Amino acid sequence: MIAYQCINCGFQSVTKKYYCPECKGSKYEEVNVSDEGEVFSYTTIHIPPEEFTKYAPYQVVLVQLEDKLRVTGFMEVPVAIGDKVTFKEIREGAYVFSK
Amino acid sequence: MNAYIHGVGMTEFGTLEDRTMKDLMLDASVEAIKDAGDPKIDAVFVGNFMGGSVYNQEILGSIISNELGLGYIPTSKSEGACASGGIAFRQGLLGILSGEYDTVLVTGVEMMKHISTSEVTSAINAAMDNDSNEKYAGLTFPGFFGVLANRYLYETDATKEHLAMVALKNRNNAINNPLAQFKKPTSIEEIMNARMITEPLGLFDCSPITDGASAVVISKNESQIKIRATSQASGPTQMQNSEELLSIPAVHESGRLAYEKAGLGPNDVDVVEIHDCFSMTEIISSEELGFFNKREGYLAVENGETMPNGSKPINTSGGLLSKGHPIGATGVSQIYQITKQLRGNAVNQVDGARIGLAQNLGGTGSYSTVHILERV
Repeated sequence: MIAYQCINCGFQSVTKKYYCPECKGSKYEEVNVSDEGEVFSYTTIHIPPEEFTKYAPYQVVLVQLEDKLRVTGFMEVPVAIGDKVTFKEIREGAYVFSK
Repeated sequence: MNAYIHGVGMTEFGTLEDRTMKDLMLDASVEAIKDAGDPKIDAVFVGNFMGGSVYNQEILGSIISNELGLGYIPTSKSEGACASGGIAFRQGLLGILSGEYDTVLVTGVEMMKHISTSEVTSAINAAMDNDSNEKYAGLTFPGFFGVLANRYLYETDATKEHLAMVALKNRNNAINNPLAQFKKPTSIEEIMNARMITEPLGLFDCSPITDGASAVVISKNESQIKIRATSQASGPTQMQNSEELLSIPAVHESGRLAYEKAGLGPNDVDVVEIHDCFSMTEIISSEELGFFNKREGYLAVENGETMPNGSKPINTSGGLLSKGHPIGATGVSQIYQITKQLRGNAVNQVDGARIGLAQNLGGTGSYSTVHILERV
């Protein structure tokens, strides 16, 4: 998985930022981070937004990657906190994970 | 300079099919102005979230000033998602504290029941950062609090029943509130068995879709209700950026600032309105505001401490969960309830209440306002 890292202090973020919240630096580089992580928390969504009706019920997971980052992702299969999961792909803007 | 509350007004909250946004906000405003003894109003501040997107109506402040014959006074609207009402109240207050105005009207209003649930869901999702991978993962507004709740249940000994106890307490409070949306008695069993919205949050754990309005008149002139502190803070707009999932930094920071300004602490507060958009939110925010230790808010609920006769009564109005949650009106209606409590004529009156606190949350922790009121 690609993340953004502050050139000055090493702060990492899934999303690009204008300013680093740690050191106010403004230069980021792309870095490779681990695709492996575990489910920090999740919810199973039964009442989805219109465009997700076809998936419901589905899981939105907050994954703690082996590196320091946490990322919000999508999973079709049921999960529990602590489950090991792997990043598969970015699909229509969503980070998709599998068990 | 000090500021005081002179009048409050509130319409019924619920499904108000035969009403318009205009007549709701005018009703609440007139009630507040009359309650204040019909003072000259120098400015109007409106709290509203989705009047533009789902009701095609803006210029709310100007409509109020014109319809009520207030003259060519300045008016404006504040938007801060579900904290729109609290922010409007704060802006009105700052207008007085700056010396610009003597007396202002603050009105919160929302119309939500005329559209479908999925249209409301979409409109409310405007309160998240939609240019992000979280939106594309299908995260919803309730979903954020579902993720929070699952982690809370994992890290503590709390269970879904503790969430249900919050919903039941607020329902029991609403039963005594003639203006509340839900006044039908319920039970732990019914709450626990209700259909799931976003696990582990079921129907009763989530605040409803509501029409309604509320209004307050504030002045630099003295009254029996003094505003001791106003504060506001912002927080993360994305779940994955939250440093500690089981915290809402905006609530903590707005609470800290308000206590500091008032020279008071959580132990001084007699009665509280907390933004219980979800049952989980009431527990976490009760911790963030210092009423209970971190990860122990659920124990206070279990022990009945947050009931009207408990040591820290929370949401004596019924809260968002059962009083209802007309988004822009909510923060103002919290001030309505705290004012009534300090005047001694509230529903679920807390004996001898002297200091009251209202906390209003916007987005998934994006905004929070805290106001501390005192009977003087």
